[in-house]
Amino acid sequence: MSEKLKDLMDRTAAIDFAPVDLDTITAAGDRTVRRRRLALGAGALALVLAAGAAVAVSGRGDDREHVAQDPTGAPLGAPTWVRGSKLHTPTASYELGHEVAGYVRTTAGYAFLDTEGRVYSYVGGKVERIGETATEDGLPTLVTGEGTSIVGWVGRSGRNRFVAHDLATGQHWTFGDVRAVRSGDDSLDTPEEIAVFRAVDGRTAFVVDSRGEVAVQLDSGAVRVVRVDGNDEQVVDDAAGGQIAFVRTSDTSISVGSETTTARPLAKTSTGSAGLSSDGRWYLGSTPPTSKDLGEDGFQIVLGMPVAVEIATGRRVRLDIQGHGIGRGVHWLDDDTALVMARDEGNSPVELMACEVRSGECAVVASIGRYAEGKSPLHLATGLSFDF
Amino acid sequence: MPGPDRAAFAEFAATRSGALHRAAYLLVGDVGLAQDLVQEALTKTYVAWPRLRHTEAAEAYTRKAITTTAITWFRKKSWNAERVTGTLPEGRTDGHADALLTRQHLLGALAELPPRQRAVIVLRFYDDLTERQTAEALGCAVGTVKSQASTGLRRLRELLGDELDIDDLLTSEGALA
Repeated sequence: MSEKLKDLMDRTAAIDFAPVDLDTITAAGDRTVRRRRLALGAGALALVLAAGAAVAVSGRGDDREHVAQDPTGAPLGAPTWVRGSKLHTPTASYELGHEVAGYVRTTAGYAFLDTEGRVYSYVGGKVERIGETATEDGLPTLVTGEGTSIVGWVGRSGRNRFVAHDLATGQHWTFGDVRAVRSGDDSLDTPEEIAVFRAVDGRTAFVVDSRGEVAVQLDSGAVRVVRVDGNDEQVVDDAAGGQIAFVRTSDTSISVGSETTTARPLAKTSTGSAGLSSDGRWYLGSTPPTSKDLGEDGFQIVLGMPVAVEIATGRRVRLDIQGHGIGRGVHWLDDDTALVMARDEGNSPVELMACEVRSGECAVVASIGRYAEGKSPLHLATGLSFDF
Repeated sequence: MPGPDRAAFAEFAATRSGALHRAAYLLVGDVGLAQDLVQEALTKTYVAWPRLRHTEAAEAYTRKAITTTAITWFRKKSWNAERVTGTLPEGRTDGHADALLTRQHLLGALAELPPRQRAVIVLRFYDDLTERQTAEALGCAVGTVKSQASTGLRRLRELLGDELDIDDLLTSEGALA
């Protein structure tokens, strides 16, 4: 008997397959998403250099809109937090005129994102629009570093998609080499555009683009590849004072140096959002996760407690966050004092502490309410559009 | 970044997994491997879900994942025809001996084809994809799909003989012997 190919295939494949295991699929998928988020960016600061970065310098853009004025402006040395459209210090509040989705502090002023991905500066009491970020398929994120007035972000389109802006001078750069490249995700060869802004150290930006992880000297356009081939598991976590902190994506451990092959591991230290101090002498991270904090693939689900490491000596100092169950560095207040967020499990009140890293002693500087309180979430100066 | 929309993905997986499983089975000739293949492809689809935007794109993405993953497995594991002629799965049809034999013959014949040629046959003549859709799934040129389909059909005719009526396909694919 002769049979059509389609009919024969229909009959051959007419099998009752077991339903797919959705829990297994979503759990595996969530692990992949978490790994990518860690590898591609949240709070990390990184680099690589090739040759010939096209850094375009421009004046202040025409798209800026003057939004609000405050005759004093928020001080730069104070602990801050944002809820809704207000920037708070322990002693005053400042209206920014826009619902804030994330913000950072630089040596010259503040930069913040609104909920539509627009980027604003807040310098000397004035709010100005300075650009917009990519919001699709990524984390709208502002990036800066300790001891710099430059803020960076990933723009919405174009090959030179990275944007850096000096809040002190208004100088504005666009640069990068963003093209669709193979993701390297085994068999799925769907080209993807990779663009991640990792960090700023002085006037050097660290980004990930089609060339890999690169450091771009903004004034000259010089580019240096900082992640050496064969070390794909290490990506830039932070950069400051000429030092680069690399985070190993498999276990979130930290090494510090000028490139991955020569970076020295910091014992028992995992990534943390404060990272390197401005002089590059200290790294503020977290204690390693315990086994109960790890997913089955080793991904760190829960961060440990804040710990500072003196890079030259390897001395570790656990910060005394006064019995709170959760703590994490926000940024440095000076070369040896860090601002730390501390709270307990659940939606418990959040305290900001100033922690002296040599002694580990911390003092509460502000009690700032809960993350979920009313309609507006709490933001700390990490640049991220989500809370940690 | 918001996570994948689990409810929408769950609906997609529930409604399309049957068809995806059957195509995967024709590709690999083994029920267990087909299930592994679909599970892996759906995991990739779940990760990509936020940017797929609509069901058609999700299905195309999943088929591409199945196809490229299967081809990778073939290359890595050096699969051969013996694998697919082991145990016949339980079918929904009447279990008639001739029918079982014919099905076994088809799986054996498909296993004789090189992986990409096999994928072209399944995508074009089982999933009813167009030449362009098949080319997109395989990441190759339309001309390659045409030539692979033609060569694959002629090889199936050689292997299955009169069991298979593909004269119309051979004509339409420009491969009339």
